[in-house]
Amino acid sequence: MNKKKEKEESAIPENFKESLESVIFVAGKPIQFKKIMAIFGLEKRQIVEEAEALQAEYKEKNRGIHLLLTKDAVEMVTNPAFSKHTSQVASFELEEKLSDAALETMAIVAYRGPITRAEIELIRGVNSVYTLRNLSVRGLVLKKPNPDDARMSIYEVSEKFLKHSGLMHETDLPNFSELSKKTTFEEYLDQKEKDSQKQILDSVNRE
Amino acid sequence: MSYQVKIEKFEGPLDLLLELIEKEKLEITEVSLSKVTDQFLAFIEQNHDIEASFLADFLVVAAQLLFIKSKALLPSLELEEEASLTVDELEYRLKEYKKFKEIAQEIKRIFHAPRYSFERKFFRPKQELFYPGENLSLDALKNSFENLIQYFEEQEKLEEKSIEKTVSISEKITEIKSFLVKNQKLDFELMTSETKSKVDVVVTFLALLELVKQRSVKLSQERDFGNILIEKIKDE
Repeated sequence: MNKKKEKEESAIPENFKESLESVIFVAGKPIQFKKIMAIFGLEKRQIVEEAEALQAEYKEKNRGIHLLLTKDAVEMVTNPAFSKHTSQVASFELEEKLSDAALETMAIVAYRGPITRAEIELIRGVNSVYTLRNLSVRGLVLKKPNPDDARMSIYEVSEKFLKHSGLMHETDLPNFSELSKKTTFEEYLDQKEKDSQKQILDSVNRE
Repeated sequence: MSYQVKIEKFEGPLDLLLELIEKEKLEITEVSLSKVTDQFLAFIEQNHDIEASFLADFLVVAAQLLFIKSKALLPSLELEEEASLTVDELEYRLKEYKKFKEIAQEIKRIFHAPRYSFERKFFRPKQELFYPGENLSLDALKNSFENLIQYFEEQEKLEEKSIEKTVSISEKITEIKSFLVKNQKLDFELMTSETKSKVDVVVTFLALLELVKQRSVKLSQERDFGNILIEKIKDE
């Protein structure tokens, strides 16, 4: 017999979606899933699912308000399609363009985050201390303590980056599912081996 | 737009290497890596203004390229497994880097497009004041300050390390070249007699292999493991 899930999930209350919407609205800033879990006594998975449903609904109806989702929190923001008008009321402070080095680093953090500095430097092949610090200062990446190793920090994209890019979720980045996959060197070698074997087989079969 | 030949600074050694390979319309393979080695080294030579901390990164890759080339020159050389991984590793890193270099242009387009989302601002307090929380203690202050100091120390250490590791390689190549401008002959034992470090001998040897490949010098040896005589090849 299948054992049931270790933790029994509570039943979803009536009008959960609507009351979740109210809670997100009244928070007025990113509200942590942890907080919402405490409010409704639900598991994170249940809340994220409902928030994503709400996010999709806003998008589908092209509503003026959209939902921004990160790994830890959810927030109400304006629909980027109307920034021509909204930007006459609000704006971002820094409008300096990002350098190629910053964009490269930003891309790595966005697709591979949370990621350590060492991993970023392995991909870029250059010391990235200054670029990362610059991005942190601009509030585009977040530096957090690494839960696996207290000596190192990990980096991930901030809400500000998503808002500036008009994205409601990091998975909205182009080609996200493919690029976010980490291929280790060992996996790369395995694949190369398989490919060359396949090539040999193919050429044998052709004869 | 990213395909035009960039004369300006490259983002790093992988960036430069990728650009050289793509300019030749080559795939990322062992053969193409040894093909562009000369151009890679020429770039480092011509750009004296590469910042020291970046230069070290360039030289690490230069050393790897020289290694790959020297392997091609000495096919009978038995290599430890670790060493033979260099080619695959460089290939792998280049391919990984390429993904992000390309997607960075997409990020640029998205990030700088006038499509923004704003949060409501009115909850932000007009004046930001510092109120120490109830849990503020001397220890907490001390810890925070130590973390801050650690953050800066971490950076300094790293720079020192990478500079020390590689500067001698490019120096060695220029050293031999400038010596050969004044002298017709040179011998390997003499060149390495003053050094105490094994790495230095290896670097000298690699630099010589490179010069042979460039057809700048000719090497000869009277017997196995004997002294190596280096002669300049006259320009025709």
